[in-house]
Amino acid sequence: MTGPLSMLNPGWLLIAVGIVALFLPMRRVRQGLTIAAPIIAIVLLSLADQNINHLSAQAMGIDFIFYRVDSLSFIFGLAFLLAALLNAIYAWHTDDRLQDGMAIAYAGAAVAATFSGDMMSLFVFWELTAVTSVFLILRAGTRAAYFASMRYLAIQVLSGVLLLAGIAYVYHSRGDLSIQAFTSLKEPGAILVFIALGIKAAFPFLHNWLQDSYPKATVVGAVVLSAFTTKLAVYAFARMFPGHDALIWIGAVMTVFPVFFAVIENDLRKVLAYSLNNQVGFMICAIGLGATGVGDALALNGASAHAFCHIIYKGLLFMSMGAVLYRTGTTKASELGGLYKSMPWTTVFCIIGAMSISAFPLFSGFAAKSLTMSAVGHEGYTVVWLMLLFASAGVLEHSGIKIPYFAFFGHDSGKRVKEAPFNMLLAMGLASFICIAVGIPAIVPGLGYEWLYNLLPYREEAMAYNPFTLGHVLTQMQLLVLAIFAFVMLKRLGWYPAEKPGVVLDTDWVYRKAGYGLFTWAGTIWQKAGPAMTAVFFKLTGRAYDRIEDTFSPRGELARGRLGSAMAIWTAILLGLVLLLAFITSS
Amino acid sequence: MMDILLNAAPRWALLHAPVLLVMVPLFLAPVLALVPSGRIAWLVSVFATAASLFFALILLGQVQASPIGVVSYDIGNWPMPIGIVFRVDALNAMILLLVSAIGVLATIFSWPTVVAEINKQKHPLFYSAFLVCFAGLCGVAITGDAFNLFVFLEISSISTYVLVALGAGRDRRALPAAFNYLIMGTIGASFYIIGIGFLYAATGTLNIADIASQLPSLAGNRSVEAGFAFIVIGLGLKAAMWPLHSWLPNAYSYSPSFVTMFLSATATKVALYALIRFLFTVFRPEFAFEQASFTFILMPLGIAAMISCSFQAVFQTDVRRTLAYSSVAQVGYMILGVSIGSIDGLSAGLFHLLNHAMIKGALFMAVAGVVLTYQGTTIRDFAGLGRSAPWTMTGFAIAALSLIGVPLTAGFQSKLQLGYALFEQGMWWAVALVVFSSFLAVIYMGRILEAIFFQAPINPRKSRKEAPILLLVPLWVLALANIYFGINTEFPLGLARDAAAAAFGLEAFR
Amino acid sequence: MSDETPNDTRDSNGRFVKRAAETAHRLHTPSEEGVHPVAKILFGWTENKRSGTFIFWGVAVLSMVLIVADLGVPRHEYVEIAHATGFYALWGFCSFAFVVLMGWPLARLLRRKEDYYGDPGGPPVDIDPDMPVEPSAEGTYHYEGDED
Repeated sequence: MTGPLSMLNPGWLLIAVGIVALFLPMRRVRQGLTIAAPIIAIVLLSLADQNINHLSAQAMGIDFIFYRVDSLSFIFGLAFLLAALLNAIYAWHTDDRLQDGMAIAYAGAAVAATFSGDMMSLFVFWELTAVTSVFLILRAGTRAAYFASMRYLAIQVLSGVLLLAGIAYVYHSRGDLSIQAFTSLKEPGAILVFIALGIKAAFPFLHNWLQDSYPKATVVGAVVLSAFTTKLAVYAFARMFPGHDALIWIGAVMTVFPVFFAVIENDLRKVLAYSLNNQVGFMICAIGLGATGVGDALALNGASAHAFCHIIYKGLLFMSMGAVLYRTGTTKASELGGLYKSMPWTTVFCIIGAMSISAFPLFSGFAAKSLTMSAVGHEGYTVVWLMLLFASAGVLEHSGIKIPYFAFFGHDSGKRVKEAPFNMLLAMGLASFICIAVGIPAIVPGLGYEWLYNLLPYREEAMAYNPFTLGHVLTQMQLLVLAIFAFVMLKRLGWYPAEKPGVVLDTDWVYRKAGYGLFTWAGTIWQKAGPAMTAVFFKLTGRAYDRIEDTFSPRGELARGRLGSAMAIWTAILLGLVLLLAFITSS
Repeated sequence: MMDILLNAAPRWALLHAPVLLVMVPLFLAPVLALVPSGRIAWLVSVFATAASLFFALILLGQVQASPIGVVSYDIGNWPMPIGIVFRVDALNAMILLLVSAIGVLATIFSWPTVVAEINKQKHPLFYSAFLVCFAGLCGVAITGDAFNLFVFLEISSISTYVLVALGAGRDRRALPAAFNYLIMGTIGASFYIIGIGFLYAATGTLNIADIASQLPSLAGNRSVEAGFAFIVIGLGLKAAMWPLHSWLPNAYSYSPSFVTMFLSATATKVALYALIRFLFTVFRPEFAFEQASFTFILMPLGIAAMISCSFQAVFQTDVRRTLAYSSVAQVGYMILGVSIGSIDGLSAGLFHLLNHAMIKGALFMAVAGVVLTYQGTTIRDFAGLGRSAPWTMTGFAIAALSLIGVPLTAGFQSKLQLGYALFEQGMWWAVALVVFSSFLAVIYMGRILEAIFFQAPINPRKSRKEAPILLLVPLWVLALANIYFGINTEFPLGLARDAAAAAFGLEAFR
Repeated sequence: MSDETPNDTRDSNGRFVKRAAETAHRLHTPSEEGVHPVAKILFGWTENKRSGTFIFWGVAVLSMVLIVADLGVPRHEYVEIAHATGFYALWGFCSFAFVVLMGWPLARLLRRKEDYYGDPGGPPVDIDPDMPVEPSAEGTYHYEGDED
């Protein structure tokens, strides 16, 4: 494709639409725009030639590449655009200019960042995702959401600042800003960028902004948020840090630890946030394998495919929980249950999402996760492989069973509400369709999972891989069915912990409680010790002040005495000193 | 820009710029004494200073264009060691530009304050004295002859005494202040001429370049060392080096507003220039006795000035005295920069010299505006002026922030450069002291700013009354220059770096 | 169904549009108790008292079948330990049980009251405006810094 349209980064289109939507009072026109924009963007993207700089500029000695598509950015961008489309449909029932505009601009920023070819443009859109997305939390309008959004913004901006600092280092040492893979983690620039990306990808101990903020976002907001920020970070890792061993272990830890939190968490949207964390761990782990050998292609393919499927099924799960929240006003497991009676379609879609994320054969998660698992096994990381397998069972627990079971089945809460609005059902239906469509075997060549594999960065290697071998399907079913059996058994024995209301402490305790407590404690101490200390302080400073005033004030020592004579004496003294010094040093 | 100027200027101007720079104001001065009208005298002064500025710009262009970075002018075509030479390099080109530019702005702004503060019959004489002073300062900066430098120093000093004494019309304390200044200035000048005498005895020449070329062979010569001591103290006194500064606060507080403004921005700067010229071009930092006096005399004195005079400034009740003490403290910064003995240190000192001239010029102009409209200079008199004279006081506030060293102002940039130079020598403690002194500046300027913007006016009848436009325009030129050069330091920093290199005799540095 | 439904439900064009529309409507309208008709079709079986037992034994049998099938299916594994028969089954079962049972001590360790951080929150503003209002068990929240 040629012409000016070929130079248009699809992300920019979305951002522009977002800005227009902010000021467009006509509800249906605005929403039509937000639905049309991703469709147009997908068309633009699919027509764009790959591995060419479509739009670049030079300023201040830096080469800016604003639009560049290659096979890696293509699949991430496509997933982002699909998510933007589904989100726009999902938001059809709302009438909120700010949320519509920010949601589409946020998606646009993520897409634009994906197709940026230099680190400076990446940084700009990186920050834009932070600034636009915060409104999706803020719009929830609750006090908790307000504080969470401020914490969220602070951490996101911190990530941006670190990224900028890293970019400065990189520019200093490398002399250009094109996005390249870092060869070593030793230089400070690489470390800064690594941490900046790590914050956005919600690395262990840097993760809590996610669980803190997503569950407090609006119904639509949480769906939108789930798609972009972390996956943008995954993309950036795949770009800049493929094959760094550190990522393998960080990713493995990331898959495991959220599982435990998710089990005891009561808020189902927060469970999904932990699950998001766990899923990103799979991708990070795969990226860490990216350049260690033969597994290279398999692993990066795995990360990309996983990100694509994950964006869709995690969106689907958030949509279903959003529908529940919309109708019942809560997502707390302890207050829900038995909703299948009033929301059967939502239940069906939620189960499809749950089966996808649990990687049941015939669902998208299976086709994607198999690549990663095979790569890890292939490279001989047995411990990591076992961790990921453990995490797969964990995913089944918290996302595959807990979410649908406690929301729609389990103990009947007696809540009888309406089925979700049609637009929500439509969005969920489309997402479910994608989940199944890319999960089924390629009965017609080129469709089913092969359609997805065709889009992966290493196409040849991906097409050579067949997830539907008998052994593979069997082992996956063993894992899942026996895990389900464990659930059924524990439930029957009454050993399954009941859902109780409460908050679960996580690392945010450090700044939300310990830091705050330290602050209050210091305040109390200060109140007690303060007066005594103040008295001593004032005594001391008062004395010092008197001394200083005696010396320096207009009535003080320095201003006293006849001016001329004092000066003459000083002049003589100084002259003597200089002379003396000169004579001493030269003799 | 310089190219355009050099191409457009007539040939005689290019050829005789050095001498015309000094002679135009010097010869117009006696003419002014005969002019009956103060207004005409003012206009002629504006013309004279503007002409000097024009020639200073030409000189700067010529120096920058010159392959060796030096423009020499033999007076009366007498060759160098015998005749008097005007010798301009990057160092004094910068000083000349500063003096003449401040001169123009000061002269433009002077008319309303002179009308208000000086007896009407004395207006022409006042301007005449001012032009003599101005010519003397330019002469000090331009001459290449040590004795000639003394002559110009005395020309400027004597006229300054007169100018200060003219403040008696407003405050009788101007007379003792002027007398004190006279005594101290004379001591300083005498010390200087004694020092020159010693050097003449040792080298047999009065030409600065000539002395400089002979000194290295005279190592260990007692009369050279004695000459050094006298010259440093003499010029140090003129430059208000602590503790030889006590003539300055009184002289600045009681002289006419215009004189205060002009002197604060130029007089000490020119004396400091002469000191730098002797410390770096005539004597050299490599000389052991000079290195020792840098370390044991100049640096402690510079730091003492920074701290002690900042404290003194904190306790003043009069705005002009606060600013005067602050000036001594700022001279301390420059002396500190000089005493590092490196090119970076010197260029930081010179950079601060430039910026300080802009800062203090703006501050004293604003004060002059207040004197003009409200007849008071205590801090209490400034209370609430932020509302009645917002333009004047905003200009004041910008310069005050620059004095404190707030980022995006010129004052910040020069402190930054000073800090870099100190870091380079590993003198962290000195950086800490500079920061502490800046903190004191926050206090003493903060007191004034607080009174201006947050206190209720003590006299409610002081309604909206701005300074006249003639005063506001130069004030805002300087205030905006503070901001502009705080963001884009290329021009002043380039000047200061070239000047420092020239002082070290490194023409190739450019 | 055909017994009760009269045959004259064809519309004037002789098609079953009306009946189809009625069916669609029926499938769309919740019953008196608020139960969606589709729910009965899709998930009605779960209400059966014995469904729990049925699921338990069903899953148990399926598990056995999968493990036994493992004996006969050739597998290509990269990790040595995975060659063991029923390894995945064992690992899945143990992992799941471990995660769930860890929930007990972890909940004791980490779970706090809902207003632990002083901001228990509440639903976002964009929930269904027609949501049936029911007396909230928690009552009204008191935020830090609120009056009274």
